[in-house]
Amino acid sequence: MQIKVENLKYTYSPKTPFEKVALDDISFTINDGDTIGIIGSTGSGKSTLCQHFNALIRISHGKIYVGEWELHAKKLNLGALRQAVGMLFQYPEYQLFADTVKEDVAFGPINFGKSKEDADILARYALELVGLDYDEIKDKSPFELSGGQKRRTAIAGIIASRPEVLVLDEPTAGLDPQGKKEILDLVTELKKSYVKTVIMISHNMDEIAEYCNRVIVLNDSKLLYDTTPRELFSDKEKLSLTGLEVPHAVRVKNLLEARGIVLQGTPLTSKEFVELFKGGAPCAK
Amino acid sequence: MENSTANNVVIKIDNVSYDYRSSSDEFIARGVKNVSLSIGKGEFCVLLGRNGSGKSTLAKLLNGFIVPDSGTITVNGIDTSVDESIYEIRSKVGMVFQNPDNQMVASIIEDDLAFGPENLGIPRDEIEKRITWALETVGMSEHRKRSPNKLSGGQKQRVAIASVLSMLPEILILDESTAMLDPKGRAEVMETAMRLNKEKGMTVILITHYMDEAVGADKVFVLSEGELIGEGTPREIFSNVELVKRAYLELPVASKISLELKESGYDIPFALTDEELAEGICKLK
Amino acid sequence: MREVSFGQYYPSGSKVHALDARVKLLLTIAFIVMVFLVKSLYAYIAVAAFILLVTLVSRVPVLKVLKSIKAIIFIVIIMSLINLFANAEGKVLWSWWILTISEGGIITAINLALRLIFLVMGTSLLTYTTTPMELTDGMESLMYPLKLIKVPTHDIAIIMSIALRFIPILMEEVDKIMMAQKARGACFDRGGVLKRAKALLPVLIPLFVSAFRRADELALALDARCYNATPNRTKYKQAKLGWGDLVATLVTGVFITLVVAVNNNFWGLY
Repeated sequence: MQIKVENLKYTYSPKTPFEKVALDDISFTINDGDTIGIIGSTGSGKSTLCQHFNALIRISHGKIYVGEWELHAKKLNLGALRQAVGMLFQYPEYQLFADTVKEDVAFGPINFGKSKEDADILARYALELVGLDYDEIKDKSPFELSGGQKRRTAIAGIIASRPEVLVLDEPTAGLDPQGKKEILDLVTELKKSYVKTVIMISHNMDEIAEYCNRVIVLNDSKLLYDTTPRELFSDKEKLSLTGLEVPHAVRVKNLLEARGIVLQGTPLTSKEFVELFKGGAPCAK
Repeated sequence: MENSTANNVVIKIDNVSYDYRSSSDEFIARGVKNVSLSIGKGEFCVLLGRNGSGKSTLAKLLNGFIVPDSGTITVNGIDTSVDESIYEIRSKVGMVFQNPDNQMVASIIEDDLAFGPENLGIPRDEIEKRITWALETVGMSEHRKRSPNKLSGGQKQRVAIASVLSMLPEILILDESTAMLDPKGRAEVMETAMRLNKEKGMTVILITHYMDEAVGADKVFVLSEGELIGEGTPREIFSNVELVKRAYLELPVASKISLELKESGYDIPFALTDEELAEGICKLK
Repeated sequence: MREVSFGQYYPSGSKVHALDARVKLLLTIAFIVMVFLVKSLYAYIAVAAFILLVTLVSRVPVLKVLKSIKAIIFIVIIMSLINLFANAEGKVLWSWWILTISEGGIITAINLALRLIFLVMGTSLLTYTTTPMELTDGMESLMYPLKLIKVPTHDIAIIMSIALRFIPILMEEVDKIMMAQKARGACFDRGGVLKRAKALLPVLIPLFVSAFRRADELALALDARCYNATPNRTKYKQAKLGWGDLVATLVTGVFITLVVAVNNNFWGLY
């Protein structure tokens, strides 16, 4: 499903003293199969942008096409849209509510009109997909799980509805390194299932560099760049405008350049760095 | 190199164990087991370990929120299990928590800073001086009369630090205080903690999941399942691959690269930071 | 983000802001009592003029004070409507089926609407010009007699202060949770009352869980900062009565006397 954003504008509390432009004339396209990173400093409009994709925020100016849906149209089948575009909020474990894990995960499918039996099957599949043991966990209260399990349950609650597009707002926030890695690997796994497109907000450039094939950079409510991570992180001038950090591997490359050693290409991860270094050999001075 | 502060110990934990128990004394979870360590005056220490490894339990023990099942903890020579001295300990051991919103009591920043000293019965003029000093120290003076609600995460945490500083503690514990912040906020808090340590000689104990926050520490303690499994300088800890794996830590990217390059036959020293790595590569023939 | 304009402290450093919170509290109470006693048009005009005067001196934008009415406009309309039809005294002006509008009804409806509006404007002026901390400290101080009979006035004050601090935070949280559940297909504006109430469970439960978690963490933070360390707690902000407080009390006193006089047609104006 292609997502096409055209001249999107959004203002908070318009025509009041608290008026604040959150998105200013944003246009870009997300293609089927993309894992797209949305980056920018806090308050740059990332979350506001993402909440447009499933019409949690209705468009006040501009257009968005999600597959067949026109999100700017007056009449919109919200149920079908929200089923197709799943959205995981920050700290999603804080939205768990049901008596049992099974019920919580089945909440989405039931809302989207599935029968209880079908919803249970979907819940089972989703819980297994996120790597939880269904039989062991299904009747537990979501509140007695560990932190990592809670987050997985919350993710299961989103993907149980079989969304084609998955929007993740800082999915690894607050987790320990192991937990972070597990969630990111899970996202990679999910892309082998029915989830076709992933849109991910993150502050961690190492994550973005490793997992995303494209990045959208927001700066001060405007779209600053729409490019690949490699392009973005190769361009020191571009980056200095945004005040964003760079992945560590890129940082090392830049530090080497400052010391007169030029690597051919931009390594995004430690693995790439080592390979590039071994392959090309430092092209000294 | 051996630390020369051994005779200036401010915190001594001697063979301490603690289990979480329900009100009916049933075992719920292990907190820490047989932990012994000591922290010298003016040291910057980092506690690492995955979720549930006992880091926060240790912090709570240091502040006398909980008392050991066995073993003893002394802060400045005072036993934390002695009821009468509990407030003396708490005023000496300032503690900043994870969620900045959940540790502020007042709606105006200066009132929040006054809260601790007021509780201790400090005279008014003295409180005034302390507020001015503490806000200056964390660089938030111009926000003195404002509400904390509109601040960024990093600013809120700096206020939280100031609110603790106004009790004039000798030890500052940051219990995952950077976990919920964006990179900018994290940098602000780290910079503040570092400065307090270097300029004011404050003993700092930082609990974190971010490995890069540990590389500048004097000492790192590694916990796993309630036990202290490693103790040393960041270099000693991170170069111990076995330990890193066992505690589910993550290597800093620079360390990862330096180790991999070494494995590929390059004669490169173990690097903790990107800068060290770049230096190391430059020295390669 | 939800805008909580009603009662949010508005710092402008005016003379009104500088007044002692206790004085402001007492004067506000006196003002409210007065508003509920008056019923003549001239008296209302005088009250409106007084509010305008205080607003100007406090340098809180007039628009902001007017806006505070927005929060209760619904209640005002409903209450007025009820009164409009409930009171059938005086000349009947209009009648249909069981509904009757009479002169008496119109007068009580207007009276009530004006009183409510003045009440809200008065109290919002108090909260615009007084920080929650000052307010709670003021209340604590006014509650002093209760302390003598062992009521924990200080704890009550702290609880109020924390409650005030967390209202905007929890409101934001409600928004967030609602959005998250909407993303999972929840619908809050469809069906009958029962269905709607049930639809709120997925919002209320996480909200309570979160409130308890926050309370837990807050309790730890209070302890960490030596809450209850000594019975001889000091106060950073010691309210001291000043000339301004005397002036404010006199002005308000004179004004109240005037209004009561006008209200009772002391000078035979009407």
